Amino acid sequence: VRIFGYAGAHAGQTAPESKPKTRIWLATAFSGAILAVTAAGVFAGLNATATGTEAASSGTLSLTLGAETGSAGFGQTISNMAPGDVSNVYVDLTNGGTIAGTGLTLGVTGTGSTLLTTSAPKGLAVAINGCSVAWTVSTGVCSGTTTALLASDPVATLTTTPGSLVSGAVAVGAVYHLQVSLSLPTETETTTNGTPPVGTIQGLSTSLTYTFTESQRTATTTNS
Amino acid sequence: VEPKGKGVVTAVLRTVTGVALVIGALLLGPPAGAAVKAVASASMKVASGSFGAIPTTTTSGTPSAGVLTLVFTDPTPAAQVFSFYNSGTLPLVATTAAVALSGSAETSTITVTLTACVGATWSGTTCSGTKTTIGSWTQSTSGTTDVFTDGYAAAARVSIEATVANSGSTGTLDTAVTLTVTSSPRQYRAAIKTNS
Repeated sequence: VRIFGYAGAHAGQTAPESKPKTRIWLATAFSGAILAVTAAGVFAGLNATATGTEAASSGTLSLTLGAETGSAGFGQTISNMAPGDVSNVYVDLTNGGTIAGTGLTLGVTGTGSTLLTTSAPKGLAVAINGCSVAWTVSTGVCSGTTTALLASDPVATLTTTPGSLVSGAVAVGAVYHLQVSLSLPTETETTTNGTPPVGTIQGLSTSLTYTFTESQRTATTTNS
Repeated sequence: VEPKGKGVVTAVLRTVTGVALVIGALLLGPPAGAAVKAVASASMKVASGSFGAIPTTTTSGTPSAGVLTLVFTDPTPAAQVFSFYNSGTLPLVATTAAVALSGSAETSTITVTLTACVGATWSGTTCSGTKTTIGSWTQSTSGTTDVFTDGYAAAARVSIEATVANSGSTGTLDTAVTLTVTSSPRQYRAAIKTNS
């Protein structure tokens, strides 16, 4: 055993001088360990902890679009419009999230590139009225309070610059009963022997996409 | 131990990468004050109609667009029948006809008269419907217009008889009657407002 004895020792022989040094080192290590354990115990006794729980959740911002009762909404096809015609479509727009919105706008884009959607004076135009209650679709009558939300605006304009419907707050749960009036302006063009003039508004088609957008209300700081 | 030069290059690369990441974050990240948005959208198909009429001697199918010329060559020419064809998709409530005379009409006392057979079709000189005079033209009124004020639906025809009377000449008649019809915005159905 090389640690506690001298491997080469025989009877009557004395151990080399390194044996006391080994013992000193062992004693020192043992003492250090004792001090470390003691110190740790002292500091552990000074720790203190306090905990609390706070529930937090994020809100939602949501707009949904549906047809007004009695209306086919945007799911229908408006065909064979003549200059001067107006087609009223009725939809409900609901702010269904848990966060109030602000700045409700409408943008309209059309497929293809025809005068219906590219010409401001000759193309389609959109106007929107709101009703405080549901519209009577068959007659186009609002039995509550009618509010003009968007004056007639060409689709060509709404494609690049969305129109403002509500500049202020859009309350949580608010339902807007909207009358969307699509019109084709009156024209002065004349068809001769079955041939329409160059740049005619006749015989064109498009698929309009109405996009309603709102932003979240202003962020707030609360103290409670 | 890395060579000193390599360490410098590595440091420079790390600095450049860091700066690029910061700039990217500034460009791609939401600006201060940006807010969550909610969108709802839907689509709807829309098409405009068309309006127009074609003068034609055809009795079925869709005629070609263009003017119609009727030639009367006998001293006492027989009546000729043609029609206004509604070539648009909108009903017409009226049609404007312009008649131009040429040939001996330039020097003779000739009158061209157009008469519609509303509700029926001319069969020879017989109309079982309602005869409606569209207008009469002479040399002095050649090229002027008159308006047929009865309506007809898209792809429908109105049967019309053209007659030529030569009251002053005993010579050979050689008259070409050129018909042009036009449809203006006042002549398709009235604008409507629908709720649906």
